[in-house]
Amino acid sequence: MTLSAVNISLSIGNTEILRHVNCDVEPGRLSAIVGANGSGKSTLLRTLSGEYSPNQGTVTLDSINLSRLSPLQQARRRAMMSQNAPVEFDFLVSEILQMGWMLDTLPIKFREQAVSEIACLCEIESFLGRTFNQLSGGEQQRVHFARALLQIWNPLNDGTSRYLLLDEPTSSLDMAYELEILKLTKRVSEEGVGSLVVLHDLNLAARYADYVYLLVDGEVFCEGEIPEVFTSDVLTKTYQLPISVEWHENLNRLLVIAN
Amino acid sequence: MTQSAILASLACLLIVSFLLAAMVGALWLPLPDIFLNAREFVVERTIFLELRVPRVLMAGTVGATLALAGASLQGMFRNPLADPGLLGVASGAALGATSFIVLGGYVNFPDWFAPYALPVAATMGATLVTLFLYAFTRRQGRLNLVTLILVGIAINAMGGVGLGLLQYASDDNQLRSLTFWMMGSFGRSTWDATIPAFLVMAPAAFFLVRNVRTLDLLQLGEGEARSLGVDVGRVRKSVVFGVAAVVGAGVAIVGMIGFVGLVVPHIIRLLGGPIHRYVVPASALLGAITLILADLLSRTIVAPAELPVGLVTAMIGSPCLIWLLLKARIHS
Repeated sequence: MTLSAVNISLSIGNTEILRHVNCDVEPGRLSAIVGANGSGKSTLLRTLSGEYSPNQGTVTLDSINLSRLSPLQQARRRAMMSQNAPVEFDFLVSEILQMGWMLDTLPIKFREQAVSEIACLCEIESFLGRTFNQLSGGEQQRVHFARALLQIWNPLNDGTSRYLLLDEPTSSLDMAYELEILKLTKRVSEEGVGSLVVLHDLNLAARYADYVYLLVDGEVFCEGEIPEVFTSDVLTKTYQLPISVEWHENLNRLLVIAN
Repeated sequence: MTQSAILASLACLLIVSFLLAAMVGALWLPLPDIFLNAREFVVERTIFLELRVPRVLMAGTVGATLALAGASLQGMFRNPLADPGLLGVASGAALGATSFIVLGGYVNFPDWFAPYALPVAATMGATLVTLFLYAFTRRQGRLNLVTLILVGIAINAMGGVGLGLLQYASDDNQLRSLTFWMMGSFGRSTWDATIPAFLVMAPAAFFLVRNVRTLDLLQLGEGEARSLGVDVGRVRKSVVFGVAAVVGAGVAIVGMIGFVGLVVPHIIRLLGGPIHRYVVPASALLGAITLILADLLSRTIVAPAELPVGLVTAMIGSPCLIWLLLKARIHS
C-alpha cells in the first residue's frame, strides 16, 4: 500500500519540470522532498496529489492508477495542503475547517468530535469563532494544516491507507509552531498515515524525516534515509555552496551548516 | 440573526411582496373578493389571473435567477464584484437577442420553436461571453479585480458596437421592435411568454443551486478544491452554462437589468456570512423580492405609464453599490 510516482516526467509549456522521477509515500513513514528553488519539489507533490497529470509514467494509489479514481475517491484517502490558499470572503475558521469533509468524506456522527479533537491537537480552539482573514499568516497556515488532518481523519480505522501531502507547511510559522506542525505530522505518520512534506529547512528534515528525496533539476539526485543523503559532499554539490554536516552528540541528530 | 432565521424572514417577505404586487396597480384588485364574489369581479379576476400573476411570477423568477447567477459567478471567480452585467454576460445576451430580432427573419423556424427562439439566441450570446471570460481567466491564473472589470468593459464596448451595427442595418419595423425590446419591461409577461422562459430558467437554476457546497470549496483555490474532491471542470461548466441560460432568458424577456446580481448577494453576505448553502438560496429570495417590488414601483410611480424596470433597479442599485464599496473601504 503506497502512493507512488512511477517513472514520471512532466513538462509545462516547453519546460521539462520532472524527469523520470520515482517516489513512494509509504504509510507509517514521514518522507521529505528537499532541493534548491525550482528543482520541481512542489510540482512532484502536485502530481502525486493528482492536480497535474504526468506526460509519462503513472501515479498509483494503492496500485490503482490515479486517473481511474474520481477526485472524490482520491479526496477520501489523500489530503493536500498548498503553500498558500488566500480566501476572498469572510469565512469563519470553523467553516474553513468544515471544508475538510464538506463533500461527505467523513460520516456525520464523527464530525463534531473530529473538529474538537483536531482543533485541540493543533491548538487553534481559541480562534474557531474568528474570521479567517483576521488571522495572521502563520495562524492561517495552522488552520489549513488542521483542515488537511480533518480530511484524512479515520475514526473507524477502516483499514484503508491515508496520505498527507504538505507543501512547505512551515513557511509562515515561528520556530515554536514550525516544530509543532512537524511533530504532529510525525505523530500522524507513526499512527499509520503516509506523509510527504516539501521542506526548505534541511535541519527540520534531518530532525523529523524518516526518508528523504533530494531533487536537482527535476530529477531525484539522491534518496534514502537521512544519514545516507545528508552528507556534505552531496549537499555541497546540490546547493553549490560549501555545506558541512555534523553529528551533534548532545542533540543526538545531524546538523546541517552552510559555511 | 441566524442564517435559517434570515431565510425564513426572506421567504415571508417574498409572499407578502407577491400578494402586494398582485393587488396594487393601475387597478386595485381586492384579493379575497375576487374569488369569493367571482360574479361581481369578472374583469378584476381576468386581470389578476391573465396579467398580474404571470407578470409578478416573471419578475420574481427573473430577479431570483439574476441574483443566483451573481452569487454563483462571484463564488466561481472568487470575486465579490463579479456580476453578469459588469462582466459583459448580459451584453452578450443582448447582442444575441438583437441579432435574432434583426436577422431572425431570414431563417425559418418551426412553429413550436418560435416562442423559444429569442431566449435561446440571448442564451447563446451569454454563453459565448461567459466561455470567453473563463478561458481568459484560466490563462492568467487568478485574475485580479482590475483586469476582470477592464475585460468586462471591453466586452460591453464590443457588445455596444455590435448592437449599433445591427441597429444601423435594420429596417423601420425591426428598429421599432428593437427599441421596444431594449426599453425592457415585464409588461409583455403573459403566460405565453412566461412559460417558455420559465422552462429555460428552471433547469439552469437547478444546476446552479446544486453547486452550493463546491462553491465553498472553490474559495480555497482550484487546486485545493480539487484535492478536497471537487470535480472543478464539471462545476465550472455548470456555472458557465447555468448563468448564461438564466441571464440569456432574463435579458430576452426584460432587456438589461443591472445591479440585482451584484448587490443582492453582497447584502446577503453582510447579513449572514459567506457560506454558499445560505448565500445562494437567500440571494434567490432577496433577488425575487427586489425585482417584484422594482416592477411594482415601475408601473405605479408614473401610472398609467410605466418606467423601464432596469431604470428602477439602477436607481436603487447604484447608490447601494457605492454605499457597499465605501463601507468595505472603511472596513479594510
